[in-house]
Amino acid sequence: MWNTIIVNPFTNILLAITMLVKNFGLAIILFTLLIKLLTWPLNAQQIKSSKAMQDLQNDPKYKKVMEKYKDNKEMQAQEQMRVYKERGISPFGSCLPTLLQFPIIIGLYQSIMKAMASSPIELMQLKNIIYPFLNADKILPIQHHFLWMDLGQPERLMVFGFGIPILAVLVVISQFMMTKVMTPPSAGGDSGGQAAMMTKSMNVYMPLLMGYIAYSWSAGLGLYLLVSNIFSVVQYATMNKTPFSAMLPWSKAPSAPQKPRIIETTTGKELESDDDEDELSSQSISNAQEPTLKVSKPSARASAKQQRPPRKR
Amino acid sequence: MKPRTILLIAVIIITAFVLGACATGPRVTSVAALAASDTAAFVSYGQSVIKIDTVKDETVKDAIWRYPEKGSTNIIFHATPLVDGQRIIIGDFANTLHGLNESDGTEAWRFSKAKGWYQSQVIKDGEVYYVANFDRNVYALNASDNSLKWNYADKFGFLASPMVVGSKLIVSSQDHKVIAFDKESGKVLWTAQTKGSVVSAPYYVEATKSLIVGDIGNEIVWIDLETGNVNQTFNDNGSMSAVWASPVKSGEQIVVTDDKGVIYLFNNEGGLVSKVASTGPMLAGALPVENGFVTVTSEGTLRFIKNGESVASWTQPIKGPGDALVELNTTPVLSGKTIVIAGLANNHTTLMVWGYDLTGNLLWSFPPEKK
Repeated sequence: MWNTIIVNPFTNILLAITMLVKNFGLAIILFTLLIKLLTWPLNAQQIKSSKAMQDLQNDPKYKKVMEKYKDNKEMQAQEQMRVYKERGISPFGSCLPTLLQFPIIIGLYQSIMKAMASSPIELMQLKNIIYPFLNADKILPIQHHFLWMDLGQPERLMVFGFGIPILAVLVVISQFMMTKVMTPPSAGGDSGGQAAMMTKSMNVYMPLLMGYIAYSWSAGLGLYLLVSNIFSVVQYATMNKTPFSAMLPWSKAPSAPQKPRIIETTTGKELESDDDEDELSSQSISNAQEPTLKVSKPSARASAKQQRPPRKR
Repeated sequence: MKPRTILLIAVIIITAFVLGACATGPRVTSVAALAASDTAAFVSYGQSVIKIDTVKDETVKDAIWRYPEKGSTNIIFHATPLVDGQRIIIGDFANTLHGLNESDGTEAWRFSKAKGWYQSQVIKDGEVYYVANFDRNVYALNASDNSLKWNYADKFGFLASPMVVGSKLIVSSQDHKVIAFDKESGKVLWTAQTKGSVVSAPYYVEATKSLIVGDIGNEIVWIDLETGNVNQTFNDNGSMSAVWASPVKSGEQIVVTDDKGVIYLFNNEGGLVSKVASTGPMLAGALPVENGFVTVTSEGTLRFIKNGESVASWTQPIKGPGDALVELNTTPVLSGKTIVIAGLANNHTTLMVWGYDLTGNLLWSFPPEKK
């Protein structure tokens, strides 16, 4: 079922592209780009959610609220959910698109592996799934040679007798950049907390894991990982107008804390200083950037409050 | 250079070393491969090559030796071993060709100049080993010191074993062709085109001085040995399927199997004598035995067909531990008077080997049950 719906069609599209461009390496790149373009809306949703979360975490006022309730986890969670709701942020906003993309990513990976048949039995399995209109006799065998790589084998560039895994290193770097920009910050903004530690660990281990896969599995898969990562990073940079330098390993978080912008709140009141904590806990807080900003209509109570003179300090 | 740039370079170098240290071997799905002498069978699959005695009167066999003694994920074997007297020659998927001592499985020599996987059997002619590699090369090695005599580079990796006929070395290519070389110099003498990829060695028909070979373009071709001209093709009016195994001669007939499991029997001149109906998909070739030949199906059946007949004289269903389904995709071999077959059970995780007599009685099996 899985093969019939996902893997076999993907494999045939990949082979059709191979027939058109006469180069399997180029076909992997084009096919990956095609799939990434088709899943652009899902990625965009994920990036938006991730960015909104990052902005929220960087908001000093939000941090203060979280700090205030640090000893009351229940209250902290309530406040957190309230802010999420007011700002239109879904806590699962960055997970859900990823989950939806999962079958596509797995199918893409499996189709690439399938198309790189390297043994007679794999060749037979591939031949058996090629659609009749593609003419298996003309497609097979697939030329695995691309640039300096044999796409069916782990990639090494031989320099003075040493095999250097260029592709694996590039995958590590690109994955690091991607993980850095795409991973939502830990909830609660506790930079030293467990969640933050997990996020930091993920930023380190995910690139290493992907690099390990690119190092020890076939180069075709490594090529897919590299193209996919680069596309995601470019998409992020395009959508958020973030310079690439901000995504490099030594740079700080890509979305640097920005000055809290004064916005409309449910009370219609502006946030002016850090001393507004009391009000902050019961009203919307400032937003850093516009994409996910939702400004609620003033409620009747808020409108009435707006009429009152400002409280004296 | 900025400190950050230096740091980045250092990180990249460290990453490369870390990745190198924990790399695992190649990932490929393949079949077990079998070879035999009169007294032993040699089986390669996954992380090791094993030797099994085929003569001792015992119903459950254990490996006499295993190479390497401790398996490594970096080295895997799927090529058919060559039994060369006191040496077992086999290539692995870590791009190395090994010469092992037949008696104890220790390594006598290795050839490490290839850059690709060895998926087919080495052959020996005189004092030269010929081997085709997935790195798109055919290598000729001096058997005395395993030094390189010549090599030929092509565009696609080779999956088929070479064969020698007289002064020619014949190699089938995935690139829809069969190539003939001068075996001494490596000079290409001719190239014969086929419809599909050729993944098995041809069979030489002495009577007509032609080579017969099947391809995965669903046809069989007869090639003139001297000129390389394709004299005849056969596709059973379009109903033939892909041919993955080499043809063999059994009695006066040439046996070709296709992957749907149909067996085609030809005379020396290339005329179709008869067809044997399929009993299941078949990747493996036939094994000639006394008065007939045996075949195995991918679904786990061993059967014997007498020469001149087109129905099986006997059939044996093969089962794994606990009646598990077994895939039989390896061409059987003969060790003395024992038919040795190899299969994979439990989703390719368990290698199994069986010995049958010529009347289809089970003599022994491998591996021993776990205690």
